[in-house]
Amino acid sequence: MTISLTISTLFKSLAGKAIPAPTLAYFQTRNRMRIFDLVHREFERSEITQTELAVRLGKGKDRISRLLGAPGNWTLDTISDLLFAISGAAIKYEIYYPLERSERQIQTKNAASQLPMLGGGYSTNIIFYGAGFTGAPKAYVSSSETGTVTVSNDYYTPMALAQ
Amino acid sequence: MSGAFIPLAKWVVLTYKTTSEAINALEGTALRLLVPLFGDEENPRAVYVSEEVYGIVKGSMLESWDDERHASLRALLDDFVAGTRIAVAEAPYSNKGCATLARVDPVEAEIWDIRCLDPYPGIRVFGRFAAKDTFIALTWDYRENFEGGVYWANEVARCTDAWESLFGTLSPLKGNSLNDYLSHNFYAV
Repeated sequence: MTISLTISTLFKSLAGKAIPAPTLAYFQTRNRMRIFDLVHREFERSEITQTELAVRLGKGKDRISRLLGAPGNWTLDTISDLLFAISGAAIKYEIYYPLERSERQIQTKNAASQLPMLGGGYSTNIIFYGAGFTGAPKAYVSSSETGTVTVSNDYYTPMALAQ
Repeated sequence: MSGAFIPLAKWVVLTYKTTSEAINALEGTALRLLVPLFGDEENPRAVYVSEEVYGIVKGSMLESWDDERHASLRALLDDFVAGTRIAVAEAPYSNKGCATLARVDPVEAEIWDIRCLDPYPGIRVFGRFAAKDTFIALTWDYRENFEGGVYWANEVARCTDAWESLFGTLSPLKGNSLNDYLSHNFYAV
């Protein structure tokens, strides 16, 4: 795997130094939003109710409502519990290197032709986690291109969960 | 901004017939298109930031932000642009504790705030939709500074002024439902 000049430069500059806390905060927020996106999509796709999920997890509905209400600093156990209880899903782990791609600054050139408001096209492929916004249920959600965590429900057995 | 400059700016922007035309003219100067630091070139949503908002989100991996909250806000805005799922509170004063995007009172002002809740107490960014999936982030402040209705009213006025200084009398997007503002991957709270 090729490590780009950007990541090399970053880590060379960090030699013997602490990574700035805001840099870590950037990725913390990013990960919280993306795992929330992942879990919430899985919840909607499953078509179960929060009440049913609460029963499956043996927790109060209020607790489930809070968890599914907003991204948060979930523990790994919480993520595991939620995904399995929602659809029998489990996490597949994968590491990727976002810094491989050249970091971009806020764009200053005119790029209006790319904008949704001006009719610029976009593809569902650009959305991380592959399942996109098509609404088409998929049993397997994975994107090595963009996802740090993928979910697989190859062993989805709703009947077993319902028992 | 000097008092003499405002009328001139308004006179200039009055020549724009549409918000998209205004954005085209202002982009790169008074407005900057926020492109996620990492990800794809094309995104389902667009956020333009004013100079004021640009001041706190312009950090990068190599030159980090001044504050963890600024970095967190940038990550949130990046993911907003990238199409991450968000909770949206359409009605002001609704139970919007978890909402990432919420409408500010009064509804007629068409001002929304993007709520970066973490690290606590977070940051609020105020702006308007210029078009569906296109948000103009105009002003911001730390959440702890919001005390009482007067502050919110002042912030609405400040945001409105910021809009008018850029777009003149052009109206922001006025929708009948959330589906008029966002295309996908959101849910109402």
